[in-house]
Amino acid sequence: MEALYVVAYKIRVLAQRADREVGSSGKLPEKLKGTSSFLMKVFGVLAQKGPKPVGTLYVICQLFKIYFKLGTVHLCRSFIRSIEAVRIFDFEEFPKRDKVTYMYYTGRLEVFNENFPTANHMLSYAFTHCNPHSEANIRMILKYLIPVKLSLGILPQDWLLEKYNLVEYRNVVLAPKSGDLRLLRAALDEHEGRFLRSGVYLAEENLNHS
Amino acid sequence: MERDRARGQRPPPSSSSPSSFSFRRSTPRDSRNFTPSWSSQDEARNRNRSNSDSRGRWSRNPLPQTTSSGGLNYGGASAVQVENAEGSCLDVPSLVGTCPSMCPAQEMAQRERLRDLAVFERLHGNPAKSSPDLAVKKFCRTLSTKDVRSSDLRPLSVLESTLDYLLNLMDSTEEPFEVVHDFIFDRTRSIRQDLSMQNIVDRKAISMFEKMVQFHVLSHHKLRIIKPSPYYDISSLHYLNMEQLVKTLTSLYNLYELNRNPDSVYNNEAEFRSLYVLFCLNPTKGESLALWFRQVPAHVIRSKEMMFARRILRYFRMGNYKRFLGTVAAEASHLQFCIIEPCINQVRALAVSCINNSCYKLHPYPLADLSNLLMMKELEVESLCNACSLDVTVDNGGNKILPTKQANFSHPKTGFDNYSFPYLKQSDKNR
Repeated sequence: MEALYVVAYKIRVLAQRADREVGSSGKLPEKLKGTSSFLMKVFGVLAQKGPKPVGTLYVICQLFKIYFKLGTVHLCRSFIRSIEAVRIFDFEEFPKRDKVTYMYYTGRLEVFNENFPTANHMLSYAFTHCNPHSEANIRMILKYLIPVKLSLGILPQDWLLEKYNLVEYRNVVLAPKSGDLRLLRAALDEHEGRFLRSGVYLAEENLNHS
Repeated sequence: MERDRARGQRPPPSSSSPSSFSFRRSTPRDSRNFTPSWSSQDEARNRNRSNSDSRGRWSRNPLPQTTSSGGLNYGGASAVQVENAEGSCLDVPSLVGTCPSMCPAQEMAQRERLRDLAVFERLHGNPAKSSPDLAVKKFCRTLSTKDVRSSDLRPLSVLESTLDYLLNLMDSTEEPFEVVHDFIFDRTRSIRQDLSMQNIVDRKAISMFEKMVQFHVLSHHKLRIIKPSPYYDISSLHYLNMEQLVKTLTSLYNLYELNRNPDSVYNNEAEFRSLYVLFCLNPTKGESLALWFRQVPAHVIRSKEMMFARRILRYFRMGNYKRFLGTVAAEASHLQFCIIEPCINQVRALAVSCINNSCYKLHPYPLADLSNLLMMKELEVESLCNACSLDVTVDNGGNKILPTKQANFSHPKTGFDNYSFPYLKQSDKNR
């Protein structure tokens, strides 16, 4: 199984690099899509292997990463359904790393669909179960968790923002505290590009409501 | 529904090997951009509708060969690459149309025989006779591009003149609008089909798609206000039109992406992008906007039209009716207005309910003020209030007033009548 993990990981990374090179040399970046179909096949084989689908979550996480990179995020849905079909204690048996990654991506999907309570549940799970030493990962989770929690009315502490270097959220957090609408508007405009790209912009506009 | 979109023959779906065929361009593109693709996995098929529609539009027949070679540039604009299950690339040369008239001669003869001519195609009203100046190729779902002959496809120049001819019919007043709409709807769909089968994706295709989007938007507007017809189900026409509107818009966005290069800017892109945002005002119709925004280039997002659309979206979601109505009146172009229109009455009803709830009971709200606020004529305000189960009375000076704090406000269950919006700036009306 370890070998499989390595293969899946490497093939995704290689495909990304290949696409970047191909893209810069003027041809069309196709490798990532080929990788996704390959990994889909791998998943199919693994899923049929028996009652305990070991390793499938890892493959699924790789696929999620590819889909998010390509933008074809809706294709994740079928895999999510197949994982939901697995019973709860079976899900718990997957390695923690995979569970955290899976919850992170499903949480992001829910943010895109503006489904904040569910997103909160998933991203919080990822946050609490994530290895405290992998700061980069925690930062990624927080990038999405903070707007979600903000729209539910929970504000993060300043030290959290500082620790993980999330400067762009500072004013966004400050504004609801002091009720300053102009500050919120200015903060949103300033980091507009970043927020739009990560899909949280509309979530933060809801802060205008509250 | 998948059949509608398949322009080429799909390979028999095998359970373990998804084959994808996609449509590409051979010049540098940021891999981050959305690429239309088709996965034949069952679950993935009925996904995000607008995405899969645009995929279908550009999909090609994956001829089951396994040879691969380098890209084949057709006219320098595009190359079609087909991936079969083993992942090797295969290039299929695009078809070139040679049909010189708006309708292939063979089809015209066949339809004359079958008396299948639309009103506009009949020569002197004769249902069995047409002419090359009048007949336009009908939309027909093809199952396989192998069978399509180049004599059935119209080349770009003919397609352009066909489109112009069709759009001129929009102003014709001899027939009721639904007849005109139905005809143009079908024939423009066939134009799009011809464009995709020939892989025409350059600037001219962009301008044609823009005109077709305009047609759909204007129909969206007109189909809402015409009277019911005995021959056509207007609501289903309206729904189908909306569907095609989204499909055409998505294809247009793909074209913008395909043709993106640092030197050129499309003047209308911002407005057409803003149309999608406005279309998503109504929560049931739009797809996830957050995801969509990711794929819009930065200079478009900061354009005047997009900022307008985003502001309208914000006002709508926050219930800020005054700014909503004010901004629409001041800044909406005609196309944007047509898309926003269904939401306007919703906002007005919200305004009435807010006023009803929060205004002081001893000071009933004069209808004249209300009509200024809501940007409606007084009589229409009255009818709106009545539709919301609110009573309008008359005060001592003979002016109509709305007593507030009425308990029985309710949103009209059967939808709104067609109230006007007289304050719209008229400058873009004739686009």
